[in-house]
Amino acid sequence: MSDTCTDRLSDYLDDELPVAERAEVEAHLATCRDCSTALDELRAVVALAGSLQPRPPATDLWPGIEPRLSTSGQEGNLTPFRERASRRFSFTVPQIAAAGIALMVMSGGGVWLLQNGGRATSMPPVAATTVPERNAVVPAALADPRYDEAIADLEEALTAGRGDLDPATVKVLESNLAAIDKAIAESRAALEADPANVYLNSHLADARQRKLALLRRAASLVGGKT
Amino acid sequence: MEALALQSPVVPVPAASAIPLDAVARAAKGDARAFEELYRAHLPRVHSLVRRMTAGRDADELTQDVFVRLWQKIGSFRGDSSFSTWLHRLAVNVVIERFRTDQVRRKRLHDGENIFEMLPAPAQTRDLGMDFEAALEKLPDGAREIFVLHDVEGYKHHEIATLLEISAGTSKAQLHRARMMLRKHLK
Amino acid sequence: MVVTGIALAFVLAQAPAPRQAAPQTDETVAVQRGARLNINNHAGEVVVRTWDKDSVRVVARHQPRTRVSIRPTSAGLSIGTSGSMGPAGSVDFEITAPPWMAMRIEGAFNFVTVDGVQSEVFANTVRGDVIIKGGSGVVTAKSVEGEVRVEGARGKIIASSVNDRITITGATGDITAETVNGDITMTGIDSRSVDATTVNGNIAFEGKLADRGHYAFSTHNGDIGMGLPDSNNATFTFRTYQGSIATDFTLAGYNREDAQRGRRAVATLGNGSADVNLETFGGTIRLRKGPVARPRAR
Repeated sequence: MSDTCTDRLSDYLDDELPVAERAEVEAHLATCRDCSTALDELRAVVALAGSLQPRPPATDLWPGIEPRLSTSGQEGNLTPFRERASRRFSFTVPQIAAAGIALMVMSGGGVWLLQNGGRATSMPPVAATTVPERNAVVPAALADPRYDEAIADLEEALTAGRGDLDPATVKVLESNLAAIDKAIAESRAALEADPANVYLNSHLADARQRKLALLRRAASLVGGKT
Repeated sequence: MEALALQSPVVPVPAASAIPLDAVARAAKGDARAFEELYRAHLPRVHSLVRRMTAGRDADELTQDVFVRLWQKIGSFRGDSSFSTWLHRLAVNVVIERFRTDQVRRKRLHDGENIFEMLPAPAQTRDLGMDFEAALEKLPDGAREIFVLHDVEGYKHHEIATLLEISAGTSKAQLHRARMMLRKHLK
Repeated sequence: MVVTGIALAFVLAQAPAPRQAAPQTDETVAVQRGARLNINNHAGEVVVRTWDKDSVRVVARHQPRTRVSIRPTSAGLSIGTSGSMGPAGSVDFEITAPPWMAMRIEGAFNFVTVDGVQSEVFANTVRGDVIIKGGSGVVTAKSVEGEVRVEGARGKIIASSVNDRITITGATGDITAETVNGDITMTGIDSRSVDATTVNGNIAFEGKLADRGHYAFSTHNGDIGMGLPDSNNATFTFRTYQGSIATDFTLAGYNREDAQRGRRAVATLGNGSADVNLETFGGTIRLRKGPVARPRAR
């Protein structure tokens, strides 16, 4: 089934094609079973759409409307039901403020991350000294217990401040941290079988540094609390 | 969402045609009781429109916003069209206003094409309409809005283009996209 | 329900206006050469285009309770938003500026598009896509949840996302691209230094390998594909633990067994001038002549 033909099927169905194109499509439909089947299916979709019946909500909404009638005069401005708290893209005042402040910090941390390529080929200290980070996390070498301490500090900061972030952002950060943790776990498991493998050692180091960098970025989004 | 269809509304819903002809005029003069009659008569259609355009998100809240906006604007209804049509357009405008402030719109036309490949096959239910409504909710936002406006509510592409500030070509392309996705679900 | 044409005409004429059709802000400000533009918008869309005037036009659409401020600073021009009662609501900006104007765009929930600027661009957001067409000097495009696209930039590119893909096309200059959960696709690249890293994603590269250039691509769960011209001078270092390597080229010194189980495999093309490091834990590394076959979708 050619894309050009199927792309025009809806316009054909809605009688939106110029005469010459309509004739072309009809000529093609006469010879192409796939396209004529697709057309029938589109017709079924349109028919079903047109037959949908209205359904009321599960609960009566009047109790939420009536009080607003008395406070919003006719021809006046709409009084929001809630101050946009439930928007798909919603954010609270503290979040806006925190995000705004945090972005300034994130810029510095992010540049550090990218300047260092986000990974280590040996075991250098993780944090560059020029990073203008707000967090007082001790820079640590990856083979150093201080690395684990740095990770723990940042995880704690993120846990404490997660309420300030949009839940969708928290979910994204957590899922990406989990992805990195999975990479770390897989690298570790491979290293157990092949502990002298240089690639695996450096890959694990890279993954841990990615985790540290993402945690720093996440913690800076919280901002203002740490 | 299936649960919604199984519960009846708290108050019986009068048909729109059963509403006294002067209810609009009385409501425009501030008669809250007359306004409530209008609310009850038009609630199913307004809520269905809102629910379908938003995939159920904030549908109740937005529906309430629509009726509060109606209360504010009812005095401007001139009677040149049916009241139902006029209210319907008002509801569409309220939903689109919310979309604009949500700022998710820029991504809405770029969502993945293969979502129906990730859905389980539609169950064999007695209510094909319910299945279809559920499938509608799964469409990418932009394609769903345009499909609802065009195929469910009957708007033309040039009107949709004006409402959503897109081109008529984009409206047609998104409509086709929605239809092609939905037909997979109906198979 | 189909609405008749006549009824529609009346509806269109009589229905209440849903929103402001005209923008709330439309101002044009003259700027001096060398001025920098700073835009801070908490949420909304920021679209920047260019014109051949030494002035900046700011068109903004927003709710009445949100204010847009446009003020000169010692560095140039600063555009910001505030709310008359509480925080600023979302604002959609359309800004037209001279192409020589460097700019910085920040805000937590922004969709950013910059088209035609021939100077430094810095765009940073949490949720929203960042699309930059053009740019020179240093071009920085960062998001957490959104896609990052840079096209036709001349100069150093820093592209960063966390949960989405990065696409860089037609770029000259150093490139650093990083994401966690997304592909990195680079085409039409003419650069001496490219560093791309992702965790859950593929990396695709099409471009020239400069003599003594440095190219490092690393992914954990994805494939790496390179589409190269017929003649290249490069030393390839391959590392993959559970993946595989496929090549259209005849590589000198290539030992397939070295490349398995994470051992380093080194192979040379031509005089070995460019340094190319390719690492994937579990994916496939492919070197193709001509356009890269796009790695398998994740």
